[in-house]
Amino acid sequence: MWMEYLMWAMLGTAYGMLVGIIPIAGVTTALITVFSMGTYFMADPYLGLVFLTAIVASCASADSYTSILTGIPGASTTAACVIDGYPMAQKGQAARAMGIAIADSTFNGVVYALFAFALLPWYGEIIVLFGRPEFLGFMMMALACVGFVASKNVYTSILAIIFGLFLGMVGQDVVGNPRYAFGWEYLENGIGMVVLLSGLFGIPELIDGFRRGVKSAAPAIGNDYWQQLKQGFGDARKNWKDMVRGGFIGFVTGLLPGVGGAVGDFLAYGATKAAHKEEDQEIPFGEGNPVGLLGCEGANNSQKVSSMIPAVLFGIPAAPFAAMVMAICMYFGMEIGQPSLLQDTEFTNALMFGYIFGTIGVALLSIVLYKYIIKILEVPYWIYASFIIVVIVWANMQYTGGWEDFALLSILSAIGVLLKRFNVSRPAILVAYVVAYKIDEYFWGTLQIYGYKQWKSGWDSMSDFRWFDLFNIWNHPIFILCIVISIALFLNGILRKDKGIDYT
Amino acid sequence: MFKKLLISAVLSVGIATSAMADYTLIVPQAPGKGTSVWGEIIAKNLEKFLGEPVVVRHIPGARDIPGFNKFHNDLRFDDKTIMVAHGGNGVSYLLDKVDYDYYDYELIGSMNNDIVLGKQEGKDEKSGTWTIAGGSGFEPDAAAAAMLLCGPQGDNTITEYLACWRERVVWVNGVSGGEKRLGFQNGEFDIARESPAAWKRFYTGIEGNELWFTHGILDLENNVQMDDPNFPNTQFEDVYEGLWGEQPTGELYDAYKLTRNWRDAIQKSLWMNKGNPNAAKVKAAVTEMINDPVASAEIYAKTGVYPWIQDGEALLAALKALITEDALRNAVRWNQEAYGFPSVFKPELLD
Repeated sequence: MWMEYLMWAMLGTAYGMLVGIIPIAGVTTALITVFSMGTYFMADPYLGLVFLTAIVASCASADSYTSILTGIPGASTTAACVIDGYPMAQKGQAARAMGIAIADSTFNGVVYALFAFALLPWYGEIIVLFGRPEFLGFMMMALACVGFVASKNVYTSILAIIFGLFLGMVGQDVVGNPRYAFGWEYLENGIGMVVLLSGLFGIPELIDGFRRGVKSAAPAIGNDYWQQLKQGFGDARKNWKDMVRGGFIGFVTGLLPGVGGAVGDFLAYGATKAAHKEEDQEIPFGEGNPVGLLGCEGANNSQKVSSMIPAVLFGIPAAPFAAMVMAICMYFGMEIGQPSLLQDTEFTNALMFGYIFGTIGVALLSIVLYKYIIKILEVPYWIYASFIIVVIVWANMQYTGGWEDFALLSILSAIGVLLKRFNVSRPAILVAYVVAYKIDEYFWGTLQIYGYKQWKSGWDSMSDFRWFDLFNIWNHPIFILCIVISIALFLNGILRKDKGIDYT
Repeated sequence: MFKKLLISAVLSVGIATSAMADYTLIVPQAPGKGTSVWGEIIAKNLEKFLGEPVVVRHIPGARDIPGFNKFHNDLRFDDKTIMVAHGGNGVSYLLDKVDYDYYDYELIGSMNNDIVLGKQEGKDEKSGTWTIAGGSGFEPDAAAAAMLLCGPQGDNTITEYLACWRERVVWVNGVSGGEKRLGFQNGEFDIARESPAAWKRFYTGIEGNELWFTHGILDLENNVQMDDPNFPNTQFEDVYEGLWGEQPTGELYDAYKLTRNWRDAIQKSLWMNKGNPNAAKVKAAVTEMINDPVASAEIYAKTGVYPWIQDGEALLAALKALITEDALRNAVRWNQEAYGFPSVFKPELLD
């Protein structure tokens, strides 16, 4: 039995590394392409969980290597690594930068995975504190986070949220009547998570690579490969505080619903710069400073760990890849956000084993296979991008096998390309889509349980509404807190002058 | 760029549509839902005994009806297509506008199953307001709960039970399975509703809840409802009598029996078109699968250990006998007025 677990962990690590190395294709793409393998794992979903968490972990690390070696982000979440990593590679210090990246990714991946998983038994205790109003408040806060924290254009974000809510409402209402299906029966079950992620994220990113004419070429390996690698490890040891800080920032941003994504590593990079005086630096930041790389590199790995917490705990993805993890878990019949799942030790062990194996495995593979990684980067973009597009389309057509699968994917891909082109927050759409049905359910549930003794229609019902019960802080402190935070985030988004970086 | 993109697109469509499998199980749900997971397990095991590949095709839609309609109107004429239906389809057959008709198909196998109802430990049926989370497929469960909470009502008419229901119950519509469980655990809802396997997994040995009642299972040989062997002495009728000192009777009870059996006796079932030349072969493979200890263990892990029915004629005759005009009309009215469901009366079912 354990041999099978080991084998799938190794396969996940190798596959995650391969997709991670390919420029632009990140963890979400890697997970979409393996979605149709779900049937294989139906008898033992934990095996599937090991496979996919190993993919997440190894892909997260391998994305960074591509950013450093080619200057093209392996994924948007490792874009900050380009700032100092790529200049290092250009100056003949590619192996040193790789040493830093390997040490940083492995340290932050393993440490924060152990930290997050050690807390798992308590998550179940948190979740039972949440009733309908608390969930409703939390969903509102998730929307406020993704709309008004991670994006600088508040008004575009509001439109993105409305569009996402609409997409999430397509399907059926709470009593099972078709809603916004426009007479198309196929839409009566709603828009699936996989096709949405493929259309809004997977395909547009790959098409954008065609548009930009991506040509990746990694620097040649010098004779001092091992020496440089060791130097990189030494940099990490010497500047461990920067490494820990970056990991911590990544971890915290990963916890924020819908914010995850690219925010963590840019914040970590900014914090590293702020922690060091520019004049003390031998090499200025942005020109190949190892400390700059060290400060942001591991944030990506710790963010991947913490992004899974709101996904598993509340069913709200902190990043697109976490939405994909949710979709696969649901495909396996696992009930996300249930205390029973969080108390299931096989579930938590599978998550931890897969993630830590993937993190360490990809580090070892990268050290040994460095020269082959460079070879992969020399393959023309259009070849592997075409291959991935084929696999994404195939994976989506396993849903019903009908033309409708292809039609919906095409429509959403076209929308995704436009949204990317006009910089509309796709994470905001994703989070709004995920919470739409829940908001509908929790809103009516809250009214029915806490608002009215008996459901009535019309204005007469307002006299029966138990406003005081619902908005009493002693009865529902979490609900009140979430609503206050949501309003504050909204006002801050509207009023603040410094709009910061747009992470959309 | 355009040329390369075009090559990529042509390859995508070509490869994606090229794989055609031999036998196809039509599942009327999206992946991950209860019957969908059951269908995947059946597909994986059935192909061992059938000797040919079996794949699952999901055709989801509102109230899980469009997939079954598509099977009826189109796919059933394919010799290698098998429909996977669940109890909700049985209730929809009675109460919703649907195209499908069980009498046009041959039963390949059906799991004669049950549903377990729990309540907050110590909660008194005879007093207070009960908050119940509803959803599709909940019809017979909540009707039984209403009878237990209200007890005998004058003439036991639907009107009387509706009045009591409005007084005693806060009905929350559209709550999914996991949400119901969480709401029950944090005390928001007073009733838990689970499949037998889920009840054992999530509630056995956990404090704060108690098994309230089960529906029992249909004894096809004697055409009576019998105790669930997995949960003895918990059948609704016995629990009702223990609480109110008499057996349940009346309009709501007849409506309850109708929807209960149309849901539970065909809760997980496989159907092929009548006259399908492969039906006998598939049926024999299902029999082998049921008798195989490894395959059946995998299936029972999902559903609990319940008997299979393969005599379609006897099953449908037993279910047909429950359809009377009063029972059907009252089931429709109860669904509309107690739950707010868009149910319709279908006189053609009385033919």
